[in-house]
Formats: sequence, structure tokens, C-alpha cells
Amino acid sequence: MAHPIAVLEIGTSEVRVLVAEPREDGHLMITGVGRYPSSGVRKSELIDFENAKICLKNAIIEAEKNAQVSIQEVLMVFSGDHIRQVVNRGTVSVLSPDRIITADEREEVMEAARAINLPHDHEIIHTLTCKYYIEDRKDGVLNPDGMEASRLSLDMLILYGQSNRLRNLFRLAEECALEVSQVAFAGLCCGLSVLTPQQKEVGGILIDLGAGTSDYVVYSDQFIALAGSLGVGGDHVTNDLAAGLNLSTAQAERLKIKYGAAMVDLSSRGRRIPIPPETGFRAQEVLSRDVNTIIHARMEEVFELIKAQVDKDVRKKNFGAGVILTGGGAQMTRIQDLASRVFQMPCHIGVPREISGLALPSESPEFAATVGMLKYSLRSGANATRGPVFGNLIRKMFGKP
Amino acid sequence: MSTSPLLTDNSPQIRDDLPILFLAVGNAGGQLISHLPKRVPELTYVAVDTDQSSLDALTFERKILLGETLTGGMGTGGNFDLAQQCLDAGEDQLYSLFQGFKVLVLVAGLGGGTGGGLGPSLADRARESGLIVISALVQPLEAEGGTRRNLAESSLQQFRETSDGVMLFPLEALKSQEDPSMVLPRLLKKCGMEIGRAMGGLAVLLRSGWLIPLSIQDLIQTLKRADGYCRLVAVSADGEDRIPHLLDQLFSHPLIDRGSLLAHSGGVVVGMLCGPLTPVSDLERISLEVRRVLRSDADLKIGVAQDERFGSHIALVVMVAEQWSTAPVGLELLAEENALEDEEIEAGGEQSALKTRKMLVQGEIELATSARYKERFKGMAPTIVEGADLDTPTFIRKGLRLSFHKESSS
Repeated sequence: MAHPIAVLEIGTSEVRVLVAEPREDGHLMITGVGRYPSSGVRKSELIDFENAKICLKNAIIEAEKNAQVSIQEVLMVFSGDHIRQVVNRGTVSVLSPDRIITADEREEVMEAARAINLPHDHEIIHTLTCKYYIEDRKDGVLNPDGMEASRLSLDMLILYGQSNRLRNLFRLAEECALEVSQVAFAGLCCGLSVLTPQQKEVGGILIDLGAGTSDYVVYSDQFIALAGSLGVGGDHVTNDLAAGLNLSTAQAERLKIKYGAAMVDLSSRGRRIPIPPETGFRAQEVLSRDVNTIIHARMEEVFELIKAQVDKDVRKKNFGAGVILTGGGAQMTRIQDLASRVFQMPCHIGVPREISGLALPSESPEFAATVGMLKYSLRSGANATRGPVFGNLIRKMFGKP
Repeated sequence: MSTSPLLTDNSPQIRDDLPILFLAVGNAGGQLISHLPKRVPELTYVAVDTDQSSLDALTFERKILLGETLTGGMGTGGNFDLAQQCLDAGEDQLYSLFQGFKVLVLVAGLGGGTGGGLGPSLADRARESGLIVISALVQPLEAEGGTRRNLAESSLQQFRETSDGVMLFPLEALKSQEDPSMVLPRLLKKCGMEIGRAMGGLAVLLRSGWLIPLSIQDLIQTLKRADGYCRLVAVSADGEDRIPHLLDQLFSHPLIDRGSLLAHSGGVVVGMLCGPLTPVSDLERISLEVRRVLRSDADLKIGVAQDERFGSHIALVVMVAEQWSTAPVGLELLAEENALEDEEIEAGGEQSALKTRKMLVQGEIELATSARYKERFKGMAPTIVEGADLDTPTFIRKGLRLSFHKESSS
């Protein structure tokens, strides 16, 4: 059995720590889980460092106890609506006498495609290879090795974000005596965790419905064509319910979890839900229809905004795999129906694949990002835990050599 | 049951000035029209296909086989290009068919070569001939596979471009309420019956004489504002409990997602069809119950028609927009109010200080309201997308009224 690895996600609703042991056949065995309700995080961003530190420590303690290991190093999954994408095209001449494309030319064109100017205080987070183009041909290829050409181009999807926001997360981990060895965007991790190779091949829209943000990754034509994060999540639903029905945030959150649905069901149109009293808030009854109208309006808007982005930025719209939902929001009643209606395609709930051990992470869409990070780390390989992008990023953040 | 036979003075009026052609395209289209429980006699039904055997199985007054020389009457096998060639070959026949009609209701399945492949071009040709084209389309089951679904998607997109309005019938939605152990032919037949009933409703909707009128333009406007995303259901009931029975059927209908689409829709057309002795109180009750479940800003058009053939039955034909193009109500009202104020101030030549003061007060109120509604995100940079502050609750920005507020204000 290999050395255990730990993944950390400082989410808006919960801090999660997952401990796993990779087996020799590449399978992942979950050996420990630590969860603690989050405080000091909004829209996946730290707003109260000290509170967040307490939550992180508690989640780590629980995971250590659970897995019976001591955690000093973590892989971190993160999100935030500061994350942006750009598709940059790099072009190089093939100079070899036979004009055959080799790994050297590919490496060269990747370097060219990675070379972009970013706004001040922004860092590249991921660089994802899309398609190669030979000469001026419009149809791209996935692997140009062995082909003859005088010119090779590559479209690269570059995800970048604000350095200071990431730096704050690293600093928080450091304050809890944790070393961050690798970071990755939650949306990408979810894709790795729940999608099958076939689903990626036929294309699909993955949406990770978190409490603070809704991250999305779009696979089209066998590569990632779009990725991003919208600063709206389950927290907004709670806030909308509290504002619309005169409830406290805690009352609204309980109402959302217990009775909330993304669609109004007219067969229960007159049903009243009792709300117990709370300090400063009287007991009352609310109509089920009002609750679901508020939730529907918010979630419909989230899907419509993502759909507009997909319509704008993704050229080939072949999404044979439909829409796949992950995150805590994916557990909301009838969220699939709503997504299916907005995107006009089938919708499924994505749960982590190919893991064993503790049952919870393999059954819940909430763990898609953390499990995906484990897979990302394994795929990168042990020696690449500080690959070119992350290595640079983490070195810059901490001033390490 | 109390009777207020207000409707007895009127005899059924048929719109003779609106000749309507129901055109079944391809195998699925033909099967669906065959499922119509009763064909409305004043309408014309024609079947068009590239497959002779499919046409032979239908009992239509008129049948047109397209592209016989190209396919040997064997169908297109899902080949859209071949379907297109068949259409081109039979163009003259179709143009002469369209003569004398004003409305074409094109009924087709989206997954097949003939319905999905030549249907959009056929709709286009009909519009060129001056007809209003409403396409009623059946989406295939998920189990029919990704290729068929992709074909259906691309075909649907084309139908939206070439038709005045599109109504969708997803088989998947109908399947959801059926027993999963049901065998496929029976399931397809049941789905066909349900869609056939809705199509029958559409026929009546287009053809009946209305006491409270609904015009074809009402339908077209709703279809257009829905951007081609519409559903259509027809329900009917008889007997003493016919009203609750009717409403229960409507509110739990799978084609409108057990009432969800109705509750969230921005545009709804309701046609009530009844016999001459139906009391007004019944119609009022239906209207009240429907309005009660709709969004307060929904654009609702209601028509009432009578026909002796209905006897004591009441039927509802309901068209529900899945999408709705409209500016948020709140913004519309604000814009109107501002325009009025501007006019008043300009007309009176009043000092601009009054206008400025009003704007300041309004701004303060908006700020205070917005802050109250954004409690959870206090002190954070707002999430702004295309000028909208997404931290403000969506239902407020969209101007949706809750029953909670209705009760409080009453």
C-alpha cells in the first residue's frame, strides 16, 4: 500500500478533508474523512481568517482520527469567481528537414501557447491543451505526432485567478501546520472524478453546485472547451429564502435542505410548512409553493447564465452526455428536472467513480471535487506534484526556491 | 350543481376563413395523427412520407410519397441529405398542396430521417407560400441513443428557425409516469394517445368559434415570445366532480412536468371548451384556480368556446411557454414610472430640483432595500453579471410576487 494522501477543500458551507491510499492497480481507497461546518468563508473566499482556521483545524483533527494518520501535507482544491479563462493560440514552424512533427515541436508550441500577459496580481492556475492545427486547416487534431507540416498551432485553455486569494488559502493551511503540495480548480477535479472517458468523448456540461460558487467545465469534441466559476451558489438560495419569507439565515437553511425543491409541484400547491421560532424570529407557516418559487428563480438563473456562457464560447455543441451535476446543490429535489429544462438535454447526478473504502465519499456528489483532486494528483504522478504551473505558483506564493 | 346557462344563446361558430392543414410528416407524424381520438371534421389531414409501407398503414384521405425514384419508397434510413433530395423532388406536389390553406400544423418525430430531415425545409417552403406554420414535434426517448438525440437536437434547432411556432412533446416526460415494466409498443401507443389528445386539442383550439375569443395570433404571439419552447396539453372531465378532476389532471400532467412548467411559465394560453349548458360558475372556478397557480406576472390568455358535441364535458387545452422573452417586470414598471415623471416635469416646466430629489430618494430606498436583501453578503464585493447584481434575490429582480406577500397585502 502506498503512502496516504490528503485532500483539503475549504468550502463555503463545509471544510472537507479526505484521506486516501492509492493501491497498486491505481484504485483509490478512502481511509478517512474530516468534515466541519465552515465559518469565515463566503463565495469560496476567506472573509474571517481566524474563524476559518478553527474550522480547518477541526476538520483535520477529525480526518486524522478517522484515518489514524498524521497529516502534514495536503493537496488543495479551490474555487472562486475570480477564476477566468482564456483560449490562447500558439504557433511554431516545423524546422526539421522532413517536416515531421515530433514531441519537440509539441513542447515548443505548448510553450508558445502558454505565453500570455495576465492582469496584475493574477497567476496561471491550469493550462489545458485543446486541439492542434496543421498549417491553416480549420479542423483540429488531438495528436499531431508523425504528421507532416510546415507550421503547427495549438489552442490552449488557460485558467487564471487572483494570486492574493490563493495566497490567503495557502497561508491558512500554513497556519495550521500544513504544507500545500498541489492545487487544482474544483470544477476540473469534479470532471475527473465523475465523468467516464466515454462521457468526455461525446461531450457534456458538468456543473458543480457549491454553497459559494457554481463551477462549470464543458467537454466538447474530446477536450475541455470551457471552464469557469460563477459567484452564486446555495448560499444565495438561503439568502433569498430568508429575505423573501422573513426568516433567519438558519431557519432558511433548514427550510431549504428539508423542504426545498427546484420546481414547484402543483399537486402540493396549498401545502404549508411550519417554521419553528428562533431568537428574534417568530414561529410561522410558509407556503411550499413560495419556497420553491424562490428556489426555482435562483437556480434557473444560475443555469441560464452558464448556458449563455456555453452558447457564446463553445463552438461545437455536441453534448451527448448531457448535463452532469455535482456538489451539495445536486442533492436538491428536482434540480435535474430544472437543469434538463433549461439546457434542453438530459441531466444526471454525478457521483465519484472508481473509489472504495468509506462509503460516504463514493455515494455523495458533494465529494466529487475532493475525490477528483486525488485522481488529479495520481494522474500527474508522484514526481509531478509540483509541475510547471503549480510549482511556479506555489513557489511564488511562498517565496520558496 | 347550479346552472347559469349564459352560453346557450350562441351556436357554435366555425372560423371558415381559416383553412387549416394538418400535415403528418414521416412515420411518427402519421402515427400521431392516427392516434387523434376524433379528427375534427372541418380540418384537412394529409400524410407525407418517403416510406411506402408506412403510408400504406395510415388511413388518411390523402397521402403523398416523396422521392420514390430516389429511395424506391423504402424511406431515408435517417439520412438527412437523402430526405432533403426527396423533398426537392416532390416540391411541386407540396406547393400545390399548400394552395388554399392559411395555417399548416406540421406533425413530426424528431429522431427520424423524414420528419427530422425534411420537416424543417418543408416548414420553410410552407412559409414561403404564405402559410402560418406551427410545428408539433416529438422528442425521442433517451434510450433511443445519443446519435438519434443529436439528430433530434439539430433538427429541432432548424424547426425553430423555419416555423412560426414550435410545440414540443418529449416522450421521456410521458414515460416518467408509466409503469417501468410496461412493454415498449404499449408505452409508445400510450404516449401516442396522449400526444394525439393534445393535437386534437390544438385542432379544436384553432377551429372553434369562441365566445371569449382566442385568435390564431394569440397563439402565434405566445409561441414567438416562448422562442419556440412550448408545451401543449389537453384534459377533459365529466360528471359531478368534473372541475376538481379536470384541474387535478392538468396540474399533474406529465407533459407540463406535473404542473411545474405551468407554475413557472411566463406565458399561458387556456382554451376552455364546453357544452352550451355549462354554468358560468364552473368556468369562473377553473379560471380562478388556474390563475392562482400561475406566476403573478404571467401573460395569461383565456378563451371559452362552446360546442353541442361536448354535452356536459368540459375540456381544457392549455399551451404553456417553457421560456419567455420579457424584461423583468420590476424594471418595466420602473421605466414606465420614470418616463411618466419625466413627462410631468417637462410638461409643467418645473424645476429640475424636484426631479433630482425624487431620484435621490428613490436611490436611497433602493439602496436600503438592496442592503436588507443582501444581508449574507454584507461587506463583500457583489457578484455582477451583465449589469445585474446577483447577490440581490432573483425573485425580487424578476419582480415575482409570492403568495406570502399577496396574503400580507390583502
